[in-house]
Amino acid sequence: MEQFVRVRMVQANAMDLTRFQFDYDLTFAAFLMNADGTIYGRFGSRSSQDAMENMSMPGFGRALQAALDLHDDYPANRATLAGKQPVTPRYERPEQYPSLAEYGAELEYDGEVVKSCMHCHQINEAERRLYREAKQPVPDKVMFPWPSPRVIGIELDRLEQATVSSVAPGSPADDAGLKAGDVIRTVDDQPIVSIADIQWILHHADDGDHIRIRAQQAAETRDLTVTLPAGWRKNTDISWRVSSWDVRRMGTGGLVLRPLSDEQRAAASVGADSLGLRVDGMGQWPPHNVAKQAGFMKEDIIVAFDGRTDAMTQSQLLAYTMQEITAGETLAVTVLRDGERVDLELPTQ
Amino acid sequence: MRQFVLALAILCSLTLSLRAAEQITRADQVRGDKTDVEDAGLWIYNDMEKGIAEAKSSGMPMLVVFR
Repeated sequence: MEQFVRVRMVQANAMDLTRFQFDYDLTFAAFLMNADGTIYGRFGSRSSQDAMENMSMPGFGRALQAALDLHDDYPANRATLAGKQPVTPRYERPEQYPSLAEYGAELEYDGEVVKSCMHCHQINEAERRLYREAKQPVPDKVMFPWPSPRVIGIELDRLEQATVSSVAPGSPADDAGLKAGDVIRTVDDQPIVSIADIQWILHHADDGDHIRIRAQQAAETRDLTVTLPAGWRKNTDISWRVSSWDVRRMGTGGLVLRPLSDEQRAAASVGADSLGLRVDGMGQWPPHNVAKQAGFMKEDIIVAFDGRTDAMTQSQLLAYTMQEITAGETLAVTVLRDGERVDLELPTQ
Repeated sequence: MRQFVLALAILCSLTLSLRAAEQITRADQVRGDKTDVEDAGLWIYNDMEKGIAEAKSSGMPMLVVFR
């Protein structure tokens, strides 16, 4: 690390969004870059409740070394880095979002320093609220940001730079011919420093896009093409995201839901293809307590939601409320409680 | 009844005191973090422009961490 000029940023206040584009729900994110602003790579990935599932110190060390190698070759390699550079954002600073306008550019170290600190995840919340308050559906790219490579069937070894540990059978990655043990060298010609670099490419990809992967195993290098099927992004798990609390508030009145196990489904007579989400908790205080006020109880099993009875994950249900339901609508929800069906009305925000 | 009210008052007072202590601790932690990092001198704290200037003069790459 001593070969880098090291800067630690502790606030989202006044963040330069034209430069720093990353998964704002992360608790640790790093940029490896040139002084002229050129980004060599990003580090910091998460795809579940386990914050360290996709990160490790050895993996971070490998990303640093890869960035040093790119720095040595710079600017001759400038063209290969072009795809890694930021795109034009909606706003240049977070404070320009209407819901974040109350924040100043600086932390108030001599005053209420905690209150004055804007958290990175609030940027994701502010972006979603723009659509919600305009009564527009939240687009997939905003609803399911920074997809994990897992969504297309790739599990990467968190101890390595970008080494495939397994490929899900029948997945887009499997169809393309990616194999366990492959080292991903480039994606769409961009040198890959870490898992986050692959997420950057997926974040900007659309249904039907073809992702070009150069994979190496031993002395063999293969060029593969992964085709992203329609709706691929919707398989992303967003339930771990801090910013999803705001989605829960708006769409489910603050409900925290968990999938039923096979045993729980059998006990409740809920089929595998049917909706079955258990209430694991709910917000207790306004504005996160709408479900509580509506009469929901812990351990309730949701079996019908706004007329839908098909199986959904919590993430898919949250997305449904943000993409198909307009703020202010009241939804009919049926739960199983002690074996009885109970009909409830759930206002959305 | 009087004893119950007294116990409740003590409990509320204790809870409020603990809450105040938590708030002070968190704010102190934020301020302490700044002081600790700046004193250690290993990282430039919250100053991107200073980092860019140093990287330009040294020719070193930058590691910018959001944490």
